[in-house]
Amino acid sequence: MLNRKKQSRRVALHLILIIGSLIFVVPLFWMIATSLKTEEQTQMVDNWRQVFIPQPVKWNNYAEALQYVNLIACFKNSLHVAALSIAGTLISCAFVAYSFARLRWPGRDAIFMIVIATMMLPAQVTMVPVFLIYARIGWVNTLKPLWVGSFFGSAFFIFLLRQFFMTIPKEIEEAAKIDGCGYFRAIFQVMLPLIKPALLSVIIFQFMWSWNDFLGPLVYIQSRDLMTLTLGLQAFTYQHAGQWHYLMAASVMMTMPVIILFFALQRYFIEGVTLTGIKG
Amino acid sequence: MNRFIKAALLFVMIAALFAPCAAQTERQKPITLSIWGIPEYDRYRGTHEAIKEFQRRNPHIKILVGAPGGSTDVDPQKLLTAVAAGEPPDLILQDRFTISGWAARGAFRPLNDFVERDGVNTEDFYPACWNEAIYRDKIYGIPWDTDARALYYNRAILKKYGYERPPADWDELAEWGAKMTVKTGVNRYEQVGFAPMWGNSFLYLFGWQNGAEFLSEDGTRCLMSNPQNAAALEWMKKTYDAIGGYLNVRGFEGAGGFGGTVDPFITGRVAMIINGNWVLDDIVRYKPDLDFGVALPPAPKGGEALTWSGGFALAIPAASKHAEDAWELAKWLAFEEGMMYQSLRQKEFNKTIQKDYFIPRLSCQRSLNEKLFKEFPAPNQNLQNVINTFLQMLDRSRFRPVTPAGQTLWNEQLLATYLALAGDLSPQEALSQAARRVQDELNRLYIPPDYPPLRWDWVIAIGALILAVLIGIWAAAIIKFCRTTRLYRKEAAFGILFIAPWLLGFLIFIFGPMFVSLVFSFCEYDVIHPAKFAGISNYVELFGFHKVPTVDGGMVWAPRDPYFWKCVWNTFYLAAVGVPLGMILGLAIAMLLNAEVKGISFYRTFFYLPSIVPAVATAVLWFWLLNPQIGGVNYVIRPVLELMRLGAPQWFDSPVWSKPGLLLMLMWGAGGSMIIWLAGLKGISRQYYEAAEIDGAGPVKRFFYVTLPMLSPYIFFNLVIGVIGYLQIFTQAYIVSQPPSAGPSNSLLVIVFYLFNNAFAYFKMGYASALAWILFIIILILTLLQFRIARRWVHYEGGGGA
Repeated sequence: MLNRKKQSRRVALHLILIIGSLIFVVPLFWMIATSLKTEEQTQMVDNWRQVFIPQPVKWNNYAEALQYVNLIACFKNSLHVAALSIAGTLISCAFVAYSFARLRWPGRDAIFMIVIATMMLPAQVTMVPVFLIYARIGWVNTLKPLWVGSFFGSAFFIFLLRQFFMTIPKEIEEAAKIDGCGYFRAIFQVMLPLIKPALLSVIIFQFMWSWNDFLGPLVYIQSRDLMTLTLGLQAFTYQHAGQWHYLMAASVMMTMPVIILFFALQRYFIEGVTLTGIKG
Repeated sequence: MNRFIKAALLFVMIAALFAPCAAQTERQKPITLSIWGIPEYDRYRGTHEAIKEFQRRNPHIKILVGAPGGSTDVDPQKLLTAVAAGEPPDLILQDRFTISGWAARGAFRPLNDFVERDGVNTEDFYPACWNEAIYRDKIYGIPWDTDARALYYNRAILKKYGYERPPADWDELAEWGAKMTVKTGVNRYEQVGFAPMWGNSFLYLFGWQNGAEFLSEDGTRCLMSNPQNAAALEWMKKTYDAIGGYLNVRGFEGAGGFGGTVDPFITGRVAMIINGNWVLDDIVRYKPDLDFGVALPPAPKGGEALTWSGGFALAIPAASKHAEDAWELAKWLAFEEGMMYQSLRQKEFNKTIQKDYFIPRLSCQRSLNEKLFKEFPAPNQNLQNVINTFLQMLDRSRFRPVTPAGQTLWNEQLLATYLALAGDLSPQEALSQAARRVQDELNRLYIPPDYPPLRWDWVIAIGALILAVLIGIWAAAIIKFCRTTRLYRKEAAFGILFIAPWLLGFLIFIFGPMFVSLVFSFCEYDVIHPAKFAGISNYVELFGFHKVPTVDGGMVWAPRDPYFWKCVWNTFYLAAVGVPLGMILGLAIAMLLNAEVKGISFYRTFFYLPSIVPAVATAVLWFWLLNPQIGGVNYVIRPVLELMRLGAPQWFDSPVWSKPGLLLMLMWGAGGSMIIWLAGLKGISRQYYEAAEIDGAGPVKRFFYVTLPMLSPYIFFNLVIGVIGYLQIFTQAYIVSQPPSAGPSNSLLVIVFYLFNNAFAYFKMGYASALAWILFIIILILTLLQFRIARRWVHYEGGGGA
């Protein structure tokens, strides 16, 4: 009796989970389906087949979408920005976080509070003057404003790495010190290898932020050949309004790298989110 | 900054003076010329080819083609940022009606010297084209192409209803249109007879037909709210109401977009439409034998039959370093030889995409049009007649008023039209509100307030003082530390060395900019001219109220800047609904996924995946999913709604549904917070549940008395993060609202959107900075408030407060 009740409960749970997953996944599926439709089919809504199944399957949409807006260049630019931002964040934040976590110096805790406080500051407050700074040194319409800032550390990653450094027993480091390690060697050879998962989380987050950043490129980039994917896709939406098959093909191409990254590094994704409570 | 801009201006002036002779001597030196605004559409291939040809003929010039124009123009923000950065393009293809705005701000170079020197025959240009590029007696752009709006009518459909000729006046137009409209559901259409705003007509056409004006002769007064305009808008609204109301029709309009195989006129979904000559391009491509005709748009009985023209012009930014070469390129693109070349290459290109026919674009010069259409005749007699009708129209065509407030005038008339058609305001009210906004802008431009220039030396002095105090406090602490302890000196030195990057970044990117933006919020600053100290006027404008006349002659208090209140309301609406909804959804998903059943990790992946789809891709996807006519969501819910005799929501085409639509899109990513909730749920010890069960608590009680209290730190965290996030929402709203409009009736104008528009579209950096600070303070207050209240309800297991 009890067993049967349990069983029917389990079936109901599965049912809810399946329906829920469907609701969440169908839009993605529809994105892919539409990306393979002909233009005429995107307008047809007479039956579910027309809505969900591309008939005929038009792979060429991808090639055509790539050709229309310079999506290949956009890909390159997005990667360029993401790679440099990741490098900048890793280099700067590791040192800053280590200093906050392990080294004792006057004013440390007060300054750490400032770091935390800057996380609350909306970027819009500094947007205009920062733009003017970049304009003045002639970096508008270059990719530099999109990544240079990351070399000066970002509050969120400093916080994240500091939390990780704090979990490492002091003894390990002290042992290294006794062996005659300086601070640089202690960081590179002892500490960083120990917080590899955290570094991977940083890489993932920074990648997602750079990849998804829209306001930055919108403000700084004008040339067609410097557009990032987000900007390219938006420009594409603007120019090809109504050509949904191309728009969806471009959207799929933009989403794919993120999904691949997610499946490859799923564990670190979830660890990073859990520890900091920030969504990707 | 001040000095920098002065120097830049001086340089520009000197450069402009010497440009002709400099170009003479440097003629053969290799240079790079950048041109902006040539769209990437198929129908501009010939122009791109012509640019390449120019490069071939002038081997020392390398041409960079940048910032393609969209359906209307280069994003004004793109041009502004380039001008501000001192690196504008050398030549830009710009919508003519916006040229005066840029000219008034000194961004474009007058071309009179070139025009006179090269003996350009200005008489040959249609007056509507040439005069539109003139501001204060100087010409700022060479008119490149033009267009005209006509009534397209589908003869086959008209015949079916017994009409052998196009409608003669407004009455017939509305009446016939209603008769030819076929509805298949509450807000579904199979065919629309005539919809005033569908295509390309705008209030300008109907207002002018009805004898209205938009600006006074001298351009200092906005006349938009005159009764003739109100009557025209009233007629538009009535015409819409007769076929089911503006919002419903708009859903049908929005379905296909224009052009290509899905053009509504080509596919026979609309019987009559007022649209530009550019549609002919698609007609010859997709349905050259379409049985249609065009006519001058019908006017009200006894009104003046007229149309209006727009088009683009080639302008040279004032800071261009190669004005002479840019002028040569402009001449090549706009005059006979180059136009012929473009047409020829376009024709060749069309052949490669199975398009057998080619119709040249309308040039702004009478004689050139004659030659073009002789050289490239229409494929059949009907089309030839159509083209002749268009050419005849050009001489009685009007153009939008030339004014430095052109962009504002355009945006405001468009918004007023939407507000009136959607029934939010009466036509007269909508127009009065718009006229007031335009008048404000005109006053600012023609009677600028006499603000003193900002004293940068003071700003720098105060900034330095604050900085010195902060550093002083820290330095004192360091000195004290060094005195008292010797042990940790090396450690402290390394500690400070390691945070140096952050410290530097903080000063350059946070502290300095915050201070400067605070200063800007008390300034009037358009980037091109030096900042002026305006006291608290920005804040007065944002928060202030003033008395305005009502329709019936009374006076009433109204906010000075209704948009500000609108954007605050929109943002709070989204946050108030979105934050709790997102939290409930996220927690519900997490509780489902906390179950221990087979395949749970698959389910988790499915729920989580949408949250990592890039925001821009999400926005584009949902813009499509929520398309009222052909989108997936309405496809699914329509049958259910129709059972209840309800129409499907119009989503991003409706001021009521656009925010729910946006929220729906954001909820798709609710799985993102699931991981945090899961961590929280996993952290609750089983013992509590067991104890509760022994006490006889059912699942509901256990949820409210165990789960929720134990999760309170997580709830608190998500609340704080959620509120901060929602208050700064921008990307998704920006993309689905098709800028520069901010959603139907501004219903998606969120704070950051308005801030962005002020800064980078209206050149009001001071106003934008004030907005940014208000946003900052709102966030600060809300966050502190949440921390305060949290003490009462958040329970931390280890004891201690929030």
